[in-house]
Amino acid sequence: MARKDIIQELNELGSSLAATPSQNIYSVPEGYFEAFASSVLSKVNAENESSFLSELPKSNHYKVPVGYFDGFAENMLNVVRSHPDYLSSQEELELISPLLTSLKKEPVFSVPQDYFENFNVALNHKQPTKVVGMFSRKLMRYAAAAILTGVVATTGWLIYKNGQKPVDEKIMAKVEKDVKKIKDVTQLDKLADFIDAGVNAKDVASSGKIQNDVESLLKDVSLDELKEFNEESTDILDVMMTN
Amino acid sequence: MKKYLIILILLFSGFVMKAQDNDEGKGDKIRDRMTTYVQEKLGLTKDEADKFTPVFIRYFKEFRQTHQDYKNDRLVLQQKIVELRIRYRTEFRTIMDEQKANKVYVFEDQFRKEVKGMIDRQRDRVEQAKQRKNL
Repeated sequence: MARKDIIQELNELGSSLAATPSQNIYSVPEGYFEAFASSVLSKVNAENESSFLSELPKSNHYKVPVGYFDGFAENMLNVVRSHPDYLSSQEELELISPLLTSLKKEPVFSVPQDYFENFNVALNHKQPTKVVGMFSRKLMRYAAAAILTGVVATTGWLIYKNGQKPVDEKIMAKVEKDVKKIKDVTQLDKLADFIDAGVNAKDVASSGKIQNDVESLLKDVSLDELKEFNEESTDILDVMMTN
Repeated sequence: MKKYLIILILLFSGFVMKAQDNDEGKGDKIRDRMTTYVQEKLGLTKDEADKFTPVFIRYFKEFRQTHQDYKNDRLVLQQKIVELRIRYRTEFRTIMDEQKANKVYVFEDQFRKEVKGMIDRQRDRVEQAKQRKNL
């Protein structure tokens, strides 16, 4: 922005700055700073010569007599000891802690005189050191046997578990082996006729032939197994009526 | 060392034999006997029996699971058993004629009742033995 524009703007604002002449008012005479230091020093010296400081004596006021500090500490202690409330360290300790005061000040760890001068350990370098094993040979044998047994048992168990996976196939083979193949259906026809004649399942179950058939099939089944199966059957027979 | 080896071999042999014996799991023996019983009672042919056995085993497993799942709610158990039996009756009908397929569950229940009878008779025998002993 040009100076003319600034003055014009100041005039428009009604500022008194517009009438201020554009010249530097902060100026010093030529060569002012070249002689500044010497002129200030000369003025200070002139003031010292005529001031209160020039009237003070030049001698040192802070001094003590010769040998003042030689007996200073002892003198101060004497002053303290002469005080009526003064207690020695022993007296003060007795006052504060009688237990500590009662303790003996003698060293408790002591050795006979010339103990270390005559100290000598008898070392027998000739006798060889006995070597003691951490485990006996017998124990190691048992440990090895136990580990081997564990490995064999684990392997066997894994084989057994893997062998159990295709259960259905094994069951099928077992059932097929056990199932007696029926060559004709005459038996079925007789049974169907029997049932159709109006005999219900309860009557059939109670008949001696069926009882014998079932008992002969289950003769090698344990009683516990039968009881477990019976619990399930009882529930089912209670809720179901197929006949 | 030879002594330990022999012991280990004997142990392992016993373990394997035991594992083979246990191939027939708990409860599976009864299931197999029931399968045999139903097959005999139905008078299935060899071909029918071959097809029937795996389906019946599958049915038995589902039956047992259904009982486990719903035994505390008898009404739901009844419903689930009926649904299961209807579903498997359809499968049985593909193996054998309809007349036989309808009777699978009759013979199954017959078998269950007879097992129950066996247990009851066993219990009675024990009770009688106790009474005799007390006398």
